[in-house]
Amino acid sequence: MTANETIHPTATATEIDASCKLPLLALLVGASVWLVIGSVMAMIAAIKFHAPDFLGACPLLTYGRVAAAANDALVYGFCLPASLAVIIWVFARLSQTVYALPLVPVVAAHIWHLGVFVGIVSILLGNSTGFAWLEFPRGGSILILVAFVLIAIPTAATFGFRRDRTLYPSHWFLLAALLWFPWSYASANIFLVAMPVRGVAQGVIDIWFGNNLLFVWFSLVGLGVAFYFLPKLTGRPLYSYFYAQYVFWTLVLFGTWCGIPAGSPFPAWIPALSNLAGWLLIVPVLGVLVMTVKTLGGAPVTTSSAETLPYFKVGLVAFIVSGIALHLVAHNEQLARITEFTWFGQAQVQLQIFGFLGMILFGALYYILPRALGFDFLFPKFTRAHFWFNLLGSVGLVIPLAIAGYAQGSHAYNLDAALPALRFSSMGLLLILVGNLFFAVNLLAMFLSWKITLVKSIFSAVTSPLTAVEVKS
Amino acid sequence: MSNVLQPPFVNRASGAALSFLTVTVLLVFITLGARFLVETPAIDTDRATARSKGLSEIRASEETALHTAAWIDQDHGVVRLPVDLAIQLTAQKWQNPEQARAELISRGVKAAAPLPKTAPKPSAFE
Repeated sequence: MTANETIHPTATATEIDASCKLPLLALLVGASVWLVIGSVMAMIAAIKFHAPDFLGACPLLTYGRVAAAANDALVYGFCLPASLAVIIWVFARLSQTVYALPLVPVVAAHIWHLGVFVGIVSILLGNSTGFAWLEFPRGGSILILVAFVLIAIPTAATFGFRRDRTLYPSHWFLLAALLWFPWSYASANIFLVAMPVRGVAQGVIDIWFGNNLLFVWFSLVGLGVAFYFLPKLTGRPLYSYFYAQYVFWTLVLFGTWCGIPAGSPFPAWIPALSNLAGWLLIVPVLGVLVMTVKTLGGAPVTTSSAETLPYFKVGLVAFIVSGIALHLVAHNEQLARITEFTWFGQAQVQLQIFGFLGMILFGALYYILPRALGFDFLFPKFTRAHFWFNLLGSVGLVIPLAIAGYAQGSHAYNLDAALPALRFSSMGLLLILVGNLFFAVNLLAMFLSWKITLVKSIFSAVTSPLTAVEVKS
Repeated sequence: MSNVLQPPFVNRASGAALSFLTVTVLLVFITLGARFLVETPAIDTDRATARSKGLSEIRASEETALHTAAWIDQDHGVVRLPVDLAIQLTAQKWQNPEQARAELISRGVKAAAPLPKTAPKPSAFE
């Protein structure tokens, strides 16, 4: 036994998982509900392309409100809290110690979901701020920011507790994600909502934030989680530490500048710089491609990895496709002029949400939850069904949206040209909705089962007869 | 073996948590600093400033014209009087309308009379 072990014993995997149980449940039960609500609202918005009068008499569900609410419910309601739940577990496991102050994230998770509720209701009532991805009014965004910081503080403390002082690549990505969101979200809200800046700067800041959330933050979390799970599921070391370092720095350096279309009505140097960053983005994308192929290539599929590994494979492929799409648009000016301000951008957003981060989070959660709660999912077949529905749904949503965008741009922004492909994309959305229902039902059934077991154990402890020792005392 | 964490590890954890909080607060303060230190004038500030300056100049010249005496055309003997004095004089003169009318006509004729021709100045180059 070393001196280190005498003062700080390593916690067992069971102890670590048990310490994360309450924060995970607090974050994920609400997240699964928002996932279904967001998918349903996205479906309502999509149906309006088939039947414009559908729910047209209800002002709460007009396209402008319900589409924004759907996007925010999926990103702030599901993607962020689910990411935080996975980060909590990964940090505790990497630190080989129990999670520090687990009740703080439980309280914070409730604040988070309250913030999302306030934000979604405000959008549906017509009180959106009008800025894409920042639609929540002050009440909702402040609650979200406070909750994020409250969750990040004990997570950082758990990071400080780590036994092995060497940093693993996932540490860099996830720690950067913990700092990236409060900074970018607070900055964008200060400049756009609290103390708005002048006209042109507002558009630049809004696009900057959207790109930082949907590309940079999602990539930091998705890649950080994937780099943790790939070696675990394949039984091989991550290829390689230096590639991961290269991907991290180039992603952070180039990713944050991307996303401003070439034809944006801003000073010319801004789209030009963004274009250059998008062009250079091929560097981290190629890095991830090499890492994925070298780590996964020829890896044997074991029974423990058969359920979850496909989620990571699809997620990483989606990231590479998304990065290449950004690079191509930056590389080819003609393509950029056709696709800018069309549904093509929405295709990339949906690829990031459902294809990349969604897939990786689902894979991680299917691995984590049975270990954290101590029993398997009640409907194991739903896990495989969810994978196929999500995969086919993502393909069926993203490809038609990209085609719709190209058709729209090629026909002088005439929506009629995009309508057939747009209508087809609702089929993809429907498949995703069904898949998300499988996930939510599985998770909620697991939660209820745990709750019932907890109540039963409390009841039996209260009603059990006293032992002789207890009677004497 | 006890699972209770010992001070060095508690310190490291507290340090990590405090560092996170400090960096986050610092970043927010930098953003706030940028917002307050970099002053961007509001839309149409230049135009509003120019209009406000023009208005104040007009008001000042009106004030001078109304309340001070000055020569309007010294050659024809036309002067500007403060408005209060001018009202007082007019009221006084027009007690006798016939005389006032005759004086007004003679002043008008005098003001409109052509000036005697003066000899042109010799050119310095001739």
